[in-house]
Amino acid sequence: MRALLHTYSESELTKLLCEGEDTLAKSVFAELYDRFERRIYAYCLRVTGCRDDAGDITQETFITFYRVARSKYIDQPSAYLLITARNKCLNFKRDHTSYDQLYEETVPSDSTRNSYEQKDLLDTISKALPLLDFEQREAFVLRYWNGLEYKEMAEICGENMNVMRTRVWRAKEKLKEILAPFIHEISNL
Amino acid sequence: MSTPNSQLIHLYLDGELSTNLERHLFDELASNEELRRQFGSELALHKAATADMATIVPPENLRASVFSILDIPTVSETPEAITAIAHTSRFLTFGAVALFSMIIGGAAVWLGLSYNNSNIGQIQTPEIKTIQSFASASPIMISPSSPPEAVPKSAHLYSKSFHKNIAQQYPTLFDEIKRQAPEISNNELIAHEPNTAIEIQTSVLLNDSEQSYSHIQSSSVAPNMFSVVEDNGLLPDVPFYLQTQRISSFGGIRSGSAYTVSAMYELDSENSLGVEFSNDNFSYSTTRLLNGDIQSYNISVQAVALGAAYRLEIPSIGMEDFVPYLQSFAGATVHGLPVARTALGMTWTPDSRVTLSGGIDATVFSFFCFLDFTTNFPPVIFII
Repeated sequence: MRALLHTYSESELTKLLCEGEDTLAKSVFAELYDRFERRIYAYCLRVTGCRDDAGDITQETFITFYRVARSKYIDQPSAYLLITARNKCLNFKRDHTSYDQLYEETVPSDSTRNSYEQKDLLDTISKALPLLDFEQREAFVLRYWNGLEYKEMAEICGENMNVMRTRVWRAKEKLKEILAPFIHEISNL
Repeated sequence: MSTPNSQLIHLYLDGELSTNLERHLFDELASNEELRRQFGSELALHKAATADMATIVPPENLRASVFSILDIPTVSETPEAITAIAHTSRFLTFGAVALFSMIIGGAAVWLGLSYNNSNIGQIQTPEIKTIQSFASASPIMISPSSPPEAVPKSAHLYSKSFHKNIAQQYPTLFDEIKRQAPEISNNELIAHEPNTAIEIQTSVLLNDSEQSYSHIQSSSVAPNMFSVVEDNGLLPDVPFYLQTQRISSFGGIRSGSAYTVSAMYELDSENSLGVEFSNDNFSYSTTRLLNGDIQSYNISVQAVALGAAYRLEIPSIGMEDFVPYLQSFAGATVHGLPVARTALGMTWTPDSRVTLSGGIDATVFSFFCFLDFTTNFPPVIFII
């Protein structure tokens, strides 16, 4: 069944998830989960800065999604999942005052396949991210690590596209400023 | 063309640059070495950023854990055990705190009953002939607009009429009451809070005259509870918050409300423990035509209470910003009478400072009440 489901679009799958009987719904959810797990986890990891919390939030996000999607049709599951994850991350941010310290302590790079220089740069970016404010950090993560279009970002964050463009731009400017010596060295290699 | 070159580089790498501006950027790059260096830096950052997504690997047990909670079959069973342990731990915590609340509540009940018993002795009674207890349930409001029985003018018969009215509407219930409490026939007076969901009454027949005493333990259901939890940042490093609740009875007694203020300490993200102050009151009054005369009666109750509160929030089964919670309260009134309250609701956090909640509140409390009858016969006033 899973092999067949692989050919379905996101919206077709959520329709099946909403209307299908229990066994089918579970298979459909498994397919959707496999499609979006990495994307949601990556977002949570980069925004919360902690593997355990990112795992917990990802778990809660998918559980929420399954329960809601069984009772009502969700047209864009990827956007819904990201919005849900975002809300949970905002709650996490609210509940953790020592959030940024936590970030620095618990985010090693996950890079294993990049070149040495790129891996180092990734490590450095990860460590510099807490120095951005939440909106800039989120915009950067959504744009580059989740690969979203500005239109999608605007929908998720409830802002217009220009605001999102500005946030990404400012995030990059600030990262460039922080990482200037490092980037210069890498770009000269 | 007034866009700064660094922003053009950003837009180009972002895939957002128009053809015209792209040409302009390339012209600039061809002639400007500093811009080329800047482009190299931007490119390195961009490559690193866009490459990261593929390198992030979720924890191995995450999938199995989610599937286990949703009861979806998965290949690996190990994570299910981990999830089960986590849930067991949560319920053990809940059990421990609930036990603590029960101990507090039990102490409050004991103190309340002790004090209450001493008050019974203050009632001047020549003789106590019968002590009778029974339980009843009256989930449906007894309409005060029911046509009254034409009865002779006396407190004694007024009481009978009251019961006869109930009997007309709830014959089975009335028969059961009569079966269990045959002594309560003519001269007891029961203070009814008619929309009570569950009502337990202890009636003490003092003598053969019109004097009587009713001790009522009542539960009320208030579906329109509303509360605001304000994170006012007064103690930024301490997980402490104030919570206010306004509870109004709905479709029940004529008017009733409780205002509570809780000071809560967050033990962890789910469990909070604190103290609660509440001011409960309700009143019921009606006027009816009885035997051609206007008669009215009212019941009013007020209870100021203080006790311990425990709150459990379960974000894992919530929905986006909506988190279900269960809050229990056990305490005593200033009269020493026990009070307990349980609220089941859902919180919504529109922003980081304010949490709104709504739900169902069930309150059990004992109280002193006084009944004031105004009739065309000499008034009978009961102060209990």
